[in-house]
Amino acid sequence: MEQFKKLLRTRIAVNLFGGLFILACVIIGAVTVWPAATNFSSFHLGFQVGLTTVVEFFLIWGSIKYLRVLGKEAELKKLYYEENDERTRAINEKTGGNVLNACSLIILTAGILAGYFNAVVFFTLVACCVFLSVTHKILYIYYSKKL
Amino acid sequence: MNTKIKELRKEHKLSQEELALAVGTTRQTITSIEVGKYTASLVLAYRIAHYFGLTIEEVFDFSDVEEL
Repeated sequence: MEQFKKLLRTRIAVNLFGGLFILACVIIGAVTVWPAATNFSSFHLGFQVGLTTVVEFFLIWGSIKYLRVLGKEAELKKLYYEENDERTRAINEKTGGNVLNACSLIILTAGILAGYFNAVVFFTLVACCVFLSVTHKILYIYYSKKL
Repeated sequence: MNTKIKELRKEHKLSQEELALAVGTTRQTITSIEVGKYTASLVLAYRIAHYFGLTIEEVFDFSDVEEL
């Protein structure tokens, strides 16, 4: 359990640092790049703001969840069991969970970067990312019912 | 795979959540094992049997397993 507490503390640090880093990137972008960005769609810029907001929300929510659990042994054990549950791992393996998540993230990042050059590529890659995420969710629900 | 987990749980007046916490898993996993949708791993099967003070064979029904 001590190892798990250490892991949670690391996650909290990564969440907070990551959140600050992303916020800094967006603020710098908003101040320096976006005012000069006359040739890309407002949807692309708005998409980045929306995505950043959602990511920040989840990072902060995750940090609060872990902080809340760190002080309570019973809840810590419950979280540990949930994260290491064998059935959940089996479902994740069957749905290719980690691979699909990584692919979605890579495609989304590529889409955002490509959006600075070509709007069609941006929309295509974002649509791919959405399709991957929806497919993953459907498979997850299917295997959750099956197993 | 059929199991006697539900009966044993009721005998000991345990909820699925309580049993799950006792053996280090989640309530959903216990539910799936009870209805026969999910087959527990050797470690989890051992933990459940050990919790009730029984052997794995006494908790899990292996009659469906084909003889080779």
